[in-house]
Amino acid sequence: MWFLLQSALAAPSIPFEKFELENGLDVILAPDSSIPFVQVNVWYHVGSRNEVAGRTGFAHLFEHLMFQGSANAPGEYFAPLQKIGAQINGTTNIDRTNYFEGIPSHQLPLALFMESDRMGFLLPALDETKLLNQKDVVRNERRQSYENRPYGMAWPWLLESVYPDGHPYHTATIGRHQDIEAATLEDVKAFFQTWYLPNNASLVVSGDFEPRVVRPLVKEWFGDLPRGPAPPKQEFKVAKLKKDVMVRKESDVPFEKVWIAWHTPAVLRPGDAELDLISRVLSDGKDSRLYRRLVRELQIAQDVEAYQTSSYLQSMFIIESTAQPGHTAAELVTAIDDVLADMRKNPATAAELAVARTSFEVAFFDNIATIAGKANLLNNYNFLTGDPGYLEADLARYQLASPGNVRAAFKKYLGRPRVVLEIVPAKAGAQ
Amino acid sequence: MRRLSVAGMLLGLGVMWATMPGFAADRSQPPPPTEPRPFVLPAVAEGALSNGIRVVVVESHEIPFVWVTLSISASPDQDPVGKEGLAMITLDMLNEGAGAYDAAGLSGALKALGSNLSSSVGSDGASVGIRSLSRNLGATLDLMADVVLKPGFPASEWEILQKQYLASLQTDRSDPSLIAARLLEQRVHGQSYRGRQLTEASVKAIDPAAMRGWYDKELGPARATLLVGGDTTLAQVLPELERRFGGWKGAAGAVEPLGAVPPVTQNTLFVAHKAGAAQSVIQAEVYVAAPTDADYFPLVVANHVMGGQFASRINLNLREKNGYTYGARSSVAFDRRGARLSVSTSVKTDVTAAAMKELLYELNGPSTGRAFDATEVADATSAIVSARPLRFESPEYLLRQLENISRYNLPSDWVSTYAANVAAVDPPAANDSWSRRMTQDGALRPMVWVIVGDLTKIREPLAGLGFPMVELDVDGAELKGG
Repeated sequence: MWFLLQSALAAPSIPFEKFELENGLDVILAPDSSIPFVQVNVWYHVGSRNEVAGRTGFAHLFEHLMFQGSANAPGEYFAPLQKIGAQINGTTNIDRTNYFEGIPSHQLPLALFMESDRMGFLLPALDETKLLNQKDVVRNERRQSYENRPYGMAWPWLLESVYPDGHPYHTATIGRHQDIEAATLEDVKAFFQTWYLPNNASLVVSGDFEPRVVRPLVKEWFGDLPRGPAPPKQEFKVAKLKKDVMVRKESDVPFEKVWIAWHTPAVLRPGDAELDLISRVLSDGKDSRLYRRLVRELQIAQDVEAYQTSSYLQSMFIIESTAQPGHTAAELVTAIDDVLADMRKNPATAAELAVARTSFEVAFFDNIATIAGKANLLNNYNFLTGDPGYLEADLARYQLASPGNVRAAFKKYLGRPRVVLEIVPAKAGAQ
Repeated sequence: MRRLSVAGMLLGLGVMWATMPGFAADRSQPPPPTEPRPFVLPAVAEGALSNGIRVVVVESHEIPFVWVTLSISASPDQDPVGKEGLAMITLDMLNEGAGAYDAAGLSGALKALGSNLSSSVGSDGASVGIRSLSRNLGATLDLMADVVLKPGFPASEWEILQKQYLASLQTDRSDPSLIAARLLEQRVHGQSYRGRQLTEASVKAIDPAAMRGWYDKELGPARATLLVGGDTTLAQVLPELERRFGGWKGAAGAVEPLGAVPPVTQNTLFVAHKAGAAQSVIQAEVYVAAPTDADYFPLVVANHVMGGQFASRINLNLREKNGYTYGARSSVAFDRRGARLSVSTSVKTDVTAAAMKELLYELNGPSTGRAFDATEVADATSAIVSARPLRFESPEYLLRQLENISRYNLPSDWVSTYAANVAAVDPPAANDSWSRRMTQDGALRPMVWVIVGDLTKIREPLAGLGFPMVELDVDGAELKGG
């Protein structure tokens, strides 16, 4: 068995307990008394994949509105928490939205009050002024993080190229300017009532507390929020390529850069962990196959990276690489193809896979090194499988992936057709 | 086993709660805190190697990782003219081949252990650090010792790395935020090394012989400290370190003195053109104090109110009130030259001048009738003090503080008294410090301002601010005419 080849690492694990409130909220408690802090981490099972036509960027805009105050905690969400030492944020991606605060243990009641108040009583506190303001903020986020940065538009362009119009992943989470601008208070209300429900959310408290004290506290603050109608099930058709797609974009960048993308299985599905391992064999370290060939031997690339995106509905496997001055994206594609062709003949070896597995074991420890990391991981597993304790099973996927499985995944997923996106310097004068 | 008991409890709680009357929580006011739980600073154990290298250890056994950093006070400020970047490149090249390994071999050996190794220059020093699974610490330290003691500086590896340096210089030139950061550093530091950044010419002028020369001159045990954190103890790790580094005999003596930071005599806008930029990047900085000054902590608190947190004056104005930006902030940080106050934001092109006005309005606030009030100061001190335990969750933060204490001659109780020093700041102290450090003749103390954006759209509105304006190219050369 492959896992027997691994030396005896103390396996990463997170002690926890889980229960469900009557209104459907999943509650997960993970005590850890290393510092007198707790993490409150709430996941709503909604992401940009759930947006309706003409309202791209809405899930993320909504996340911003969650920090604008609720009926019983009006004003900036940050204000009362920051002054007691809280570290606060929220994130939205294609699959889910999360909110979290790290706070001194003895302030847990305040954090539970604040989180539960915006889960239940956001709408009465919202108005047109706040919405208009956060539209501006979010549009500036798009400018800062995507438009005003070399290659910053790669991700939106890639998603548009890989997923057809109408697919839940067609548009990047940040959305389009005109859609963000078009959002109304009515949209906000409908979105909240559809998705921001205790029965579509899960709460993790990790850190320094006693479960017997915190169980009734959670019940007190979240127990009276009404259950909503079951959120609509996502209807979508798995995207498949019929033929190669080639996209070339000119932009204000100094070098040609390429992204090659394939459709691959969703997170935790068969093939997902195998593709993760393949990505390490291809590009982790200076002796990895792609790095060695493109950067060290041919010296046509500045960098090269391969990764499996592991998303909820379906995933992408991506290889990206930046050309050296005087070299082209086309040369990179040829060289990458050569390495992949060679891998077809000379699959990942047992030694390469052992090294790749080790990197994932280390990454698992990394993920649980902080109470914030633990909280997010528990919520992630709960979201994906219903079992917050899926960590051991997740790790086992990597330990049990045999060279044969890895070879099969490689052959099945990393052939043709595929998408090639090139971003090249805009011609002189275009600036 | 665990999952079974959890499932059992789930059922039990469900039954119990179903029979409880439906209490609605009292949301009329925020709930009070419970009893604070004690926080104890992690202990620091100290030892020394036979060649005098100080060893400090902060234990943390939650996950089986060990961090070891060899921290060396060095003079990255003293790169020879024409070879700017030499210190950085020398450190970078340490892990491009050492002992019996070439770059790929070293990378592969580390990966097989699940270990990372990095070598870099930072503020006023150099460091070589590893992170290892505790069971692989010995083997990882062997590789680290090769990198520190037996670097090869192979010409064939420099040929590859040099290309990457040259390319990344070009990439940096196309990124408005990085352009702004480079221009700011040039203007703040003048002709001291940090103002003279690496260029195509200097990268091309550097060769393995120059790296070897820098290594021999700057890296030695007399300037080194070994910082250890994680799943080990002083007793366990000291012999391991002694075996590998105890015989090191480098020649480095005292660190050379610094070039001076030029005084800032007026608010000048240094602007650079980025055609079609979606936003204007605004950055400003000035050295204002030293971390050992009596009013350093009041300045930290004042800055926290001004721009050091989400609900700061600057961010609430530019982001939450006006929607000009995704975020705006100010910060206080220190190095060997002192403590500097920095301001940064990125704003939509058509509100660049308006955003500057609001920034100036806030920065001028304390000296024009909007002193920091008692609530602001109390909230800021509470925010900093209360958040502090989180920083000690892993040993890295404490180790960095210990490094700072020795590198910058801070009081030895810097870490243990930090919270009390912040907590002691009252509104008069915060206002006095801001007034002394950030105000001059009743207005904002002159800072170096850099703005990178589409000048065809922002030049004229910015001129309306009434500050001298100097147009630069993306490398910092002054353009004639404007």
